Amino acid sequence: MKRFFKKQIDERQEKELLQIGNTAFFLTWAALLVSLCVQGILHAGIAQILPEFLILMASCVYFVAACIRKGQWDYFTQPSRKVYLAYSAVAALICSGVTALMYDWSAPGKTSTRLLALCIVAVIVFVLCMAAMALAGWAVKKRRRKLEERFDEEK
Amino acid sequence: MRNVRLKVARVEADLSQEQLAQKVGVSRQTIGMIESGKFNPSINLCIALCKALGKTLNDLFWEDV
Repeated sequence: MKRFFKKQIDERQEKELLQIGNTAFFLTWAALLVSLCVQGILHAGIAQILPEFLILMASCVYFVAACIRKGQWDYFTQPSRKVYLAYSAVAALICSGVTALMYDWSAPGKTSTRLLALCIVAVIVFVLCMAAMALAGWAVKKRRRKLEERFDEEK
Repeated sequence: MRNVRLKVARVEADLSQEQLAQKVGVSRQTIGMIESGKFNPSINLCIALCKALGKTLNDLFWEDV
């Protein structure tokens, strides 16, 4: 059994396979997210959305936990208040945009009430994202310090 | 950047890409890509290549300015 599962690839092939896996993961993740947004806009029922939502959340939880464990943040930024603010603002804009698309604007009702609801959605998403990112950023920084100590030559 | 020195050392040792690949335990494509500068090998693979060709890291991988 061990012989059967012996690695048959070299470091270049392994790197390429990892890159393929990475791209496939993000394509699937993005497709799931888009699918959920479209279903939300089309007013799909909870029972229809729930399985996809749970799969997406499971992948997100694993991804975040694995990144924290390895002390990783992302490709382009480092954990900081400015980054949390920027990412949270983008998330709030996207969420309120998708929520706006879910509304039936031609139905009777005050536009101002709907706009207020959109603002509340944006504020809630912004606050939740800020909190989640501040927590994740704190955990990543703490983990990095721990990993640095573990591989410190002088200890 | 192409690694001409690796290619020259391999030809001097009278080895084909396939034979060198077998010696160091990688695929022929990997040797081809290292020689053409499309793949940067790890230090472990560099050392394995040096040992297989009887050269030093400086001989094969150091850039003269």
